[in-house]
Amino acid sequence: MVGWWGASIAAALAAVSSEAPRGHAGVSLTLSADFVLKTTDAQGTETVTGALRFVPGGDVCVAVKTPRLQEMHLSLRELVIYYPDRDLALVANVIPPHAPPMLDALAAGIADPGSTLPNQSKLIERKRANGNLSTRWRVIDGAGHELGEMRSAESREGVLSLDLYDTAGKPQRRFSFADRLRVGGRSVPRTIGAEYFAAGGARQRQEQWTLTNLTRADDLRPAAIGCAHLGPRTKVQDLQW
Amino acid sequence: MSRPTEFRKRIATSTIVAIVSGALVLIPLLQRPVLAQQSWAPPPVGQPAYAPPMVDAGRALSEGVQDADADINGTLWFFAGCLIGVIGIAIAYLAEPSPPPARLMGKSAEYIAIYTGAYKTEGKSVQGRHAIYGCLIGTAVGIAIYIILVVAVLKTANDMTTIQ
Repeated sequence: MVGWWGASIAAALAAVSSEAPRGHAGVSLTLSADFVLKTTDAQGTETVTGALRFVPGGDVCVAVKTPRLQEMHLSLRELVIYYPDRDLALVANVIPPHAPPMLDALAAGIADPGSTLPNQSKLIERKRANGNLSTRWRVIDGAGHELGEMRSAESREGVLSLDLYDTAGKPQRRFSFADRLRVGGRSVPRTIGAEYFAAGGARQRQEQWTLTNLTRADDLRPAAIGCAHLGPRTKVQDLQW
Repeated sequence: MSRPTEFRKRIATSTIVAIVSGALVLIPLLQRPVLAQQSWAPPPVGQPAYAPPMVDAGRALSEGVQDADADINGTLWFFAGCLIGVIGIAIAYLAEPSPPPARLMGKSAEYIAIYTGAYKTEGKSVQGRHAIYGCLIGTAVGIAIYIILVVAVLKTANDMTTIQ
């Protein structure tokens, strides 16, 4: 896992979720959508379907419908995975400096790429071509160590692609975003591709997210989708995180 | 007198053989519809399961190990060991990596427990190994620089003595 990326993207999403978009004073980001996640790796292809919801403050609630009923609540301090049919919950406490749990491909499509970088990072290239803006950033952590490079391409609608490279120039993550829709004043991609590379640069895993029925959820209504509400009789097991 | 008796015996024997054979053939055939009603599918949602759900522990374990091997940035931990030595090694063994939550979606509780444990154990091992390599290389480079400096100083001192 690219450690700095996990922490940064979670913080960036929390900031996005809390701030009000232009023209929507006092309204923070709340989205709900149905999703299909196709994952391809050495073991084959797996498909997961369900619904998800972005809650103000950076929390994400996921209700998995297939292949197994499951609810996930991802927050900055806790990850709860609940099985409604077994009334069983796995609870992981996230203690800093651990990166908060995050669906990084989705978060990367919503957050501004620049906001996901550590503060010391430097812009090394910025150019416009065919109406798109391409930028290259040298990623530098708080202690001044170089962590790698981030390249992004943006159109007027939003980010088209985001690539992370290690210090040797080998790819680590590659995200692509398409079919954007404006929801609640924000541009949200409905098709997201994510490629994860092993240390040597070989592709290890591929994720394809498809979002449908994308709507701005009413943030005054309590989150209904998959927020893993535990009952008094729920069996709770600790999950090491 | 003996002919009718023999005939009766043959009839009786044939009848018994026919009944037993018929039973042997018919009983499995009659069992089929009953067997066909048996279901091996998991119980419907909300109904109790009488055994814990099957989980492929071997698969969860191997996937956890493979993903940790691929995810952990060895270069970063190599430099940590190289620059801060033993402290870097200690941090590498104490810092527990966590798997991305997307990999846990749709998986059973048993799979998640095994996968997460394997991921953390292997992750710490990879981090520690790279930090140790870094520490050893860093120490070797440090010793080499030290020897070069000592030799240079001794040589300079020798030259100074020769000049005097």
